[in-house]
Amino acid sequence: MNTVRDAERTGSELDDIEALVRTYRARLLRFVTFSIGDPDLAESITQDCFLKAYNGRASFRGDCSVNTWLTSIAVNLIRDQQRLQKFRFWRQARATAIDVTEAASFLPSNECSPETRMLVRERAQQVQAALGSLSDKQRTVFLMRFMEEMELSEIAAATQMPLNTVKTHLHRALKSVRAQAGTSR
Amino acid sequence: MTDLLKEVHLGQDQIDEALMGCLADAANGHLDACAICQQRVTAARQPIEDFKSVTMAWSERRSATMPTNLPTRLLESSSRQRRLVWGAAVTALLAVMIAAPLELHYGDGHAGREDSAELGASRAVGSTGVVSGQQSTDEQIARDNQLLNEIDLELNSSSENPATLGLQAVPGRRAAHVVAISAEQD
Ligand SMILES: [Zn+2]
Repeated sequence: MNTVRDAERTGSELDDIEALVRTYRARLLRFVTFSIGDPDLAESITQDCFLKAYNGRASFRGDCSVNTWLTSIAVNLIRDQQRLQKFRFWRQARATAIDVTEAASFLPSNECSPETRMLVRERAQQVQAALGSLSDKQRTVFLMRFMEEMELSEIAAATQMPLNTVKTHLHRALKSVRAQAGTSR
Repeated sequence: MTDLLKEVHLGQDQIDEALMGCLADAANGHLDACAICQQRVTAARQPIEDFKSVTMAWSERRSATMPTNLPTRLLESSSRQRRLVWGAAVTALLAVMIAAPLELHYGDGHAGREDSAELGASRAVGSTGVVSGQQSTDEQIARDNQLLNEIDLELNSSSENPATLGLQAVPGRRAAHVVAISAEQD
């Protein structure tokens, strides 16, 4: 996964939309899904994102990775949706739509023992629960940093937040993750 | 020196900063030399790494169920959609151009003026209302303008709304996004 992020991509990569979708869709879908907590809506936004990226590929300057660029487009689409307020976000009922317990069973079984798998599942659930307690902005910033491995300056640029605000959101998010780990011990 | 550094372990905020990638140089120096703090950072990172791998496994599964040939269809249907809309627009404009002179010709001192005006108007835009004389011309212009506006709207929405470009959700899945956009436009 890191190779995708680390490689400096050129604009020509964006011309092959099928390859673009193949390479980045799962990752983008994860980002959008766990930003808004609704997998169905996330699929739709993810598709919109590729459409927007492809149609606007001429504006990609190559000063960040393609994944960072796609994530920034997704952040704008998510923000548009959040402004609409036509549906409910994480703290409401949709939070249960993604079953992390079930998802843990998709992990390659040859890599870990049943005990390890159970631990992994527990810890993933803690983070999911923590995400549910965050504001939209805190959650988005957390996902950008820790799922998409974006630099703080890239997050600040994509979200149009001051760098210190990004840090504050991340501190708050990490505190929430710690609190969840504390309650389940 | 090393002993002194080890006595002042990283605080919780500094552990967070290490995760965030913005730990100050001095604290970084301590972290490099302190196995205890390294362990604390690793432990703090672990739940996030687990969440990352579990959610990626989930997303890869989910993504695999999404249409694979979507982009090609999207682009093809995008240009086809445009051609269809333009075709309709040109047809409508031709109808207006043919009907308007007819209306003027028959309307100029002709005995069956009102009937002809009605015929002209209905030929132009399918209207069923009875209109006549100057009123007919004004309404015709208004209708033509409205028609052009509608064509404009149609072209704009077909280029921006993913639903018209073949981006509908997978059958059986809820297309809440598209619904939300429609609601906004309403
Ligand atoms: Zn230490």
